[in-house]
Amino acid sequence: MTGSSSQFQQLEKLGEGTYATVYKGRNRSTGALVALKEINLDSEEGTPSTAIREISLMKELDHENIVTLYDVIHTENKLTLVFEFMDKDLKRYMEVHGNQGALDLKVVKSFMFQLLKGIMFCHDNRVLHRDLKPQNLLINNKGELKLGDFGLARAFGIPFNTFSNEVVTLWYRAPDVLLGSRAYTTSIDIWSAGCIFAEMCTGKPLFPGTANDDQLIKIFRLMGTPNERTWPGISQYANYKSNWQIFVPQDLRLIVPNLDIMGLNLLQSLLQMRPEARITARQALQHPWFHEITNPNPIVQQLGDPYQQQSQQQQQQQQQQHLQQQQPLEQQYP
Amino acid sequence: MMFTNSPDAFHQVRLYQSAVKSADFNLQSMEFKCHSTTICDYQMEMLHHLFAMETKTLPSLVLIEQQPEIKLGMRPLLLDFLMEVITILNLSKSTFPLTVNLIDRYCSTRIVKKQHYQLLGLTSLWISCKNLDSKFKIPTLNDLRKICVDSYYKELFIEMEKHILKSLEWLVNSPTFDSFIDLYLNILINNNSNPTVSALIKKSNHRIKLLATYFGELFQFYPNIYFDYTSSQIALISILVSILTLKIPVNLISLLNYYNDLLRTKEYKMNVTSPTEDFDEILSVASFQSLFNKSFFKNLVKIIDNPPKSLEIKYFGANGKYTQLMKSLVQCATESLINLLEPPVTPRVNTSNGTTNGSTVVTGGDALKRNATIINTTLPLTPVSNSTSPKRFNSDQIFSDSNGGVKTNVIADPNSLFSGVSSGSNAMNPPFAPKKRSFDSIKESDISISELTPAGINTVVEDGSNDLKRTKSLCNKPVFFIP
Repeated sequence: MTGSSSQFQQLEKLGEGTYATVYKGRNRSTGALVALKEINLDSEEGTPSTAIREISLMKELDHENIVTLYDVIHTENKLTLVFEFMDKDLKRYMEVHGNQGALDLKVVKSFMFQLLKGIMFCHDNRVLHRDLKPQNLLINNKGELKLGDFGLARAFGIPFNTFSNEVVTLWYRAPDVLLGSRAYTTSIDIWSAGCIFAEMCTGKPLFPGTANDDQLIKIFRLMGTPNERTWPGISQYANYKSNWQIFVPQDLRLIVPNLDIMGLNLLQSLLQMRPEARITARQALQHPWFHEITNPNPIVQQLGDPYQQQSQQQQQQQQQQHLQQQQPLEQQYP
Repeated sequence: MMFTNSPDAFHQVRLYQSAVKSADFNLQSMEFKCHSTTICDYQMEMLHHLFAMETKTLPSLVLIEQQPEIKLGMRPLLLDFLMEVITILNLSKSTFPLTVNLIDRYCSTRIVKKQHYQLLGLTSLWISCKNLDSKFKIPTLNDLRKICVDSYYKELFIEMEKHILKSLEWLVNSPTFDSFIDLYLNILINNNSNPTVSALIKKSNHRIKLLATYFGELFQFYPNIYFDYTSSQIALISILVSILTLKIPVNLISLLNYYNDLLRTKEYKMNVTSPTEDFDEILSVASFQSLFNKSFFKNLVKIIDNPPKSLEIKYFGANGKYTQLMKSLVQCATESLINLLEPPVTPRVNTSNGTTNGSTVVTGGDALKRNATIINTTLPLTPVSNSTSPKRFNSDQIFSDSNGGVKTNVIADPNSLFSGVSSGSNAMNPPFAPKKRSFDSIKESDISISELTPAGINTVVEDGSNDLKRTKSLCNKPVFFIP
């Protein structure tokens, strides 16, 4: 925390958020690229709560799928956060590399896996991100995906405080939050991940609603209108209406035609209407759709190459172990 | 292998979770259950993370004692004041312990002048409030200025905030004892290995949690308990004391062992990456036994009935939401403690076997300190500007203040330094009627004496501008400094 702003050369503007502006920067001594997030300090408010939460959480979270915070520079009227530099956000990546926005399924799989790993790490460390969307997922030219912008993130306890329901950009907001739930849990990040999944496959946002109600209708159109029978307790939510238009659930294949059956199953588990029925990040990472990443060459490993001596030895060892395991049985039944 | 990873492997889990939830139609409790079952997936990781964070954010008593102007005796008075502000502003329950942690950690890194102690306290409160509470509850600078009765300029809060954040290297999210209490109880309730115990705990979960939180908050005021144990240990002690005093038939030693064993499970060890994070136990049985002795119970009886003013307002106020329950809980606790001290029959739980006759409340603390490495150098000075506010101090007054104990001639007496939420009184007070009420005028030894010179000590401070009213009697019953 000893850096000064003169240490970095400010380059072009990368983006502008509600409370901060992000610039590309260059470390004058090393030449390394960084991202500089500049927050203007209000003389009445002091350090904004979003900045306090973002910085203290980012300092806790050290993971390959979460953007690294290098330094904080605190001057009279400005707070500058120095982040590792990432080439693009996911939105831009889809525009540049996608086929009309749609990404190759191999890329989608890799990104989804990294996204879920990042989410799992946050949840393991009792942090909710609460603002997952393609603009906040950053990609570097090695194809690594990292979660960024923890401005809305916060730590949660066991009996959660009631949170504001004005979190998560509308299109990625979970139905329970839209219905007025203020006691949501880790499941809201999972819903966002599901929306992003579908968007990567098709190149178009899944539920591009314009307002709270419109957003709900867009979700119902695809997932079916919920009622007390499909979602016990729904009528007690603040934004529940008894006169919603009735939709029947659609087949996700119609929306995401290029996705294979396993992927559709995962998508379905992520996009569960009821928060408690939604899959967790840990469970999702074990989903068979990711098998080629978690266990790339299972068959080759098991059979081995019979013409290579080394693998023959391994096989023999395996057989011996196998025999040893069976020995007790043989002793029992001579 | 394929089987466990089949797409529907978790279908049953989800079905079960749905079934649990649909059994209860009350939305609030439904969502709570949903949350706590979701947490089950993560609780070992969370526990590990909290422990790892805790070791990074420990205050150091050795360094705090090096403070030239701040005495430990001032601490409970400051905390009392802050607790009251927190109650009035209706902030979250983690806000208080986090504030305390920030104050103590800052005092372990930089020297704080006496006249800045309240500034430090309020600014820490501000930071922890920004970190934990919803944005509508965060006090504005004007609120802060009013709360301390114009003792400090607005700019000072901004400046102080910057110093605190920088000195603590922006590590604000220190795990508080109440988050440990929640996690411990949640783990215990969802523990399937001993259904009778979890059923017992589940039945009186609310009472245990409330009483344990009360104990935990009380302990914050007593340096000799607070600094000898970490938040995770204080949480465990609070839970154990609550279970003991509420006469819930659970064996404390086996419960303690259950929690200690958690840290030895495979699920926990999986997360451990560096040796500094590797703890074998939360609280050793030996230190537990040496703590739970007669003198500890004796002191507990004394303090739970006679809490600091702010806690009294919070828990026993005329129309507080806890008043009824807390009165019965404390009565129950006092009775069982007295029974433990003078047992008509042998106490149910065999804890006071040592009967160490120790006159100190805390013994064996050395065995369980997990202090981070302490750099024993002199602390750098807080670079906050010297003047607090021209209305109150000028530099030679500050000097005369610290040089001579006599301050009858100090015109702008610093007595409302801690006067709390209000006291527009100061401006009205004629300068020839000084009151002996500032921190520096109270010696540590005085604080534990029940009655001090009468005049001017019990003052009723009223606030005209807000509806924040309170009775302030600083030295009337400050039993909360155990000598």
